[in-house]
Amino acid sequence: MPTYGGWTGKTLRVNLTTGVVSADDTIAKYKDYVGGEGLGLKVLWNEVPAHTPAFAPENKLIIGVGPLNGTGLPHNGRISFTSLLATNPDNLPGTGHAGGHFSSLLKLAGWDSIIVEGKAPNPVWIFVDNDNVSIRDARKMWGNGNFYTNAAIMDEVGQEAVSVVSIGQAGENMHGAATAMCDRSHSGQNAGGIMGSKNLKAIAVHGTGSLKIACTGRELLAQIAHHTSLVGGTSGGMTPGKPKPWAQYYGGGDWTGDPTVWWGAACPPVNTGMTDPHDVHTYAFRGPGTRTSWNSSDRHMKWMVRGAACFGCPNPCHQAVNVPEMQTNNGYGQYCVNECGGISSPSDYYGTATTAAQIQSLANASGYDAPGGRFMGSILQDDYGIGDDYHILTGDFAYYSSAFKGITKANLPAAEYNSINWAAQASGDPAFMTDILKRFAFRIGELGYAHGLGSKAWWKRWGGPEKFPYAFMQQERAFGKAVCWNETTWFAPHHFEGQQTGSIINSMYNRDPCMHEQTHINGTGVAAVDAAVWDQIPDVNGNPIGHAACDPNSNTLPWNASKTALTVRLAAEGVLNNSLCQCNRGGAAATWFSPLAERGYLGDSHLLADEYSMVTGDKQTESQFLHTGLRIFTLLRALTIRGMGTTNMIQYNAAPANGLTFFTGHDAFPDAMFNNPTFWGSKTALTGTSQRQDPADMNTAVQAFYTAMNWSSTGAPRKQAYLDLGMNDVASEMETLGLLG
Amino acid sequence: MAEKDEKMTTAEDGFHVSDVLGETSRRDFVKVSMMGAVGLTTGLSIMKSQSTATDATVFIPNAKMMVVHDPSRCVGCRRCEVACSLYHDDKISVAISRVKLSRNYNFGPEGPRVGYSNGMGIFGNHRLVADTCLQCPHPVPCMTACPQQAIGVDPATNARVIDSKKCIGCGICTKACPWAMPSLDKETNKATKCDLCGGNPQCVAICPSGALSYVPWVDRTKDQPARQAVPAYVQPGPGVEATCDDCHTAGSVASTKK
Repeated sequence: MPTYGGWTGKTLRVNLTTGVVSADDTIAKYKDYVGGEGLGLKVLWNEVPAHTPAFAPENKLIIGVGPLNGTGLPHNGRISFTSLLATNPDNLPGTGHAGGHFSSLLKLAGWDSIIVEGKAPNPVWIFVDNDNVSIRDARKMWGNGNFYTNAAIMDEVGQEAVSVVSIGQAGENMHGAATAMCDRSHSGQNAGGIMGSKNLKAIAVHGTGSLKIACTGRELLAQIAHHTSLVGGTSGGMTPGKPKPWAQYYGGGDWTGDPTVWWGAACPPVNTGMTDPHDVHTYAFRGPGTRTSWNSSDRHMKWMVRGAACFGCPNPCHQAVNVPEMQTNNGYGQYCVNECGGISSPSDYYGTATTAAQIQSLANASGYDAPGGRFMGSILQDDYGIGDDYHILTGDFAYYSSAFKGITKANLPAAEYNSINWAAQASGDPAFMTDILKRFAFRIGELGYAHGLGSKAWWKRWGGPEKFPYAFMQQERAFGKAVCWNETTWFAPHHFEGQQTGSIINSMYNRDPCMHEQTHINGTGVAAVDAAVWDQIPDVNGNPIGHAACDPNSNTLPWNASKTALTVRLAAEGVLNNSLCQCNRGGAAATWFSPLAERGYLGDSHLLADEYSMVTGDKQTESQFLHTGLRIFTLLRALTIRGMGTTNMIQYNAAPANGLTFFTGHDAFPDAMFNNPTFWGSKTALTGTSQRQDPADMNTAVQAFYTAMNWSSTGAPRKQAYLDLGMNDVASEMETLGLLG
Repeated sequence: MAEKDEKMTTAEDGFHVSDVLGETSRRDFVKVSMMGAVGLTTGLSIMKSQSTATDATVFIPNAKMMVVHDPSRCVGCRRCEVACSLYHDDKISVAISRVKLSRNYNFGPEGPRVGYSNGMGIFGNHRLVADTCLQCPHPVPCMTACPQQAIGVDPATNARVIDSKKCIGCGICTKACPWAMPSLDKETNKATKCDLCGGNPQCVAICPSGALSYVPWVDRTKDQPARQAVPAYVQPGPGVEATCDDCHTAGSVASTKK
């Protein structure tokens, strides 16, 4: 039996019903699915029957960690939380993702992943003290937020090499979108309620062991340096935002470091400087900065303390800020930290403000120069452990609560409605966050209860398809923060990612998967330069994808064969990210490009395969490793089909009658992609002038994807598709169930 | 380990650092030291060979360089800890890293306490402190306490380094350092401490924000708060104390005697 690096070889299994702690052999049981999300999905396939309710003790939560966690390779500080999704109408399987340090410290403690099963009779927490694992009483911690929980645990066991995954009150109250949080600001959505249903308050790891690798330490250091040299901005942009002496091009996103930009609240303040990519000591200054998601001008950098990095990340995306007014005005605390979405999403609860100018106007009206609602909301969301299912619940609330809709008012008892601090919402006062988020976290009243059901169940409870047909909702829901609905799920429109590829991948999941693979291949923004790189990127079989796969400036052009090849590769690469576990912001597909003119802006498309091979010793070529990814992606598909009990995953209606939509079924594409004046104005689809899609073109696209995957025209894998990926056990069961394509 | 300086004399039974004065008698040396010889600062100590009858003169020169950490720039990525253990130990382990962020990451050097939201660390004001070896001047606490005389000086940098062939893993050095910088690798049963990587510190090289710098040495032992109380049972190694009187007499510079 070969021995491998990267993996520790042991996956921890804790049964909270029986109190039994045991270890699975990672290699024997899960190696073909790598780790992280792949390992989690395999556990669900093997052990959790279809139609199991998400909050039942029979459901399992897999805190998934992969062979590259703990190596220090850039962007390998992620963690995956795989389980059945409480907010999915059929409680289908899915994964929440987070960053931080827990996954790496778990590896240093000697474990590959953690499988949590059953339900404890009373609140407990698990202490993974290297090899020694114990289940401890958490009744004193129960009822407190994540910050207190971390302090209480580390007061007991120390803080060195310790990290904690915990839930706040939202998870305790089984809010469907509650998070499991680690390392102050890194949250995996949907996992919190699962932990709460199991009476599991926290898992703490103390990792003072070591991680062994197949290569030498110096070889890995060289690879770290190579990988680091290729990364761009924090979302994959390969050019600086502002002109630089060293840069041939400029205008890239999320690369805001500049001599005019300071970490103003650092002590002393730090200038972010020129950020020349040949100087490794400047990488951390690229990304977190003048993000329009949380501030409206460079002067707001006075609040910026520093970037906050996950384990091994050279260009952090989390931003730590210090806003003293929050303490003096609201008495809760002045330090906030999160990435763009984690700080921007709370402001969606205010509803009417959608532009920076509107937000600033509201902030001014509230008495101090800060978009304080965002920061206050971020702090509370982190402490309560409450998520918003990627901007969905915030947008739902804004829509229902808007004066001209009056849906919230119609559905709450008068006393409850009148008790809400609506004046604070109207004025942009952070006090609104203190009011409203507590209701959600503690499931207070009708509003708190409904919010915690998740978007679909909330809609059904307050009127559902009879009052608000979802075709109608797809247009109406564009109000405020845009969201795209279909029958079974929803996702933020930027996950269209400008071309058909992102939409197809996103639609295969059972929640918004935050699949930014396409978004983060930003390149230089110069079409001719980018095309030359695209022509060198291979598909899963090693043939060039071709630059026709890429729509210049992300404005949609018609589907083509190159896009098919791209979509298949990104589907594989995305799950590989989630299984290794690697961030897709600045790694993975983002490093197909590099900011280096001397390389012709070419990155290294086989980084994932190379790093997997050198760390584990399991040598896989780029093509082979991508097929490993396809195996994981196809397993998710099998789980979805088994969970729904149907192979009919999509139906296309070229000419829907009034009130019906172009697509129905699990994979349906929301009509808003094709037909929504808020998004598209008068732009015509497929002309390269906008990201507006065309339904017939999307049907062509998804059918081409199904064909490339050897799936049926309704999106079900055929038997040979499973066999070609070595999934004989899955093929056999699907055949028995009559669920083959 | 760095190559030996030509001036270094080694004996089978002990560790002698570079003999900057070359061959000299002890009496001559004492005369020179009392006059405050050029080039010799407070980094002066005498360790007698354990078995030779003559008094070999040994000095502990000050380090030439050191690594310092700037909390205003640190983003908490821990690449420094990764690089340290990969470079030295062919594995990743934050516990034995010779630059130490992990123990301050969550709640700062003071640890969790009431009012943690205004303390340091990620649950407080976000200020992160990584501790680096002060490369102490004489008397070097870890060196003085080592019963195996396994800690000496690398001539390339004058960093205080552990000779792992001599180290028996007793862990006394981890207790002797007021700043708790040496660690014990439980897998190899050897102690680890910062050796400045022979002059090209890997933690500095990999830091993405320039929080770590490689700078000329200054004595920080007077201003750096201690992290732990040195237990009373930590004593100088055998034979060390007897040599202290070679330079130190009662009433002169502070005695190193307990």
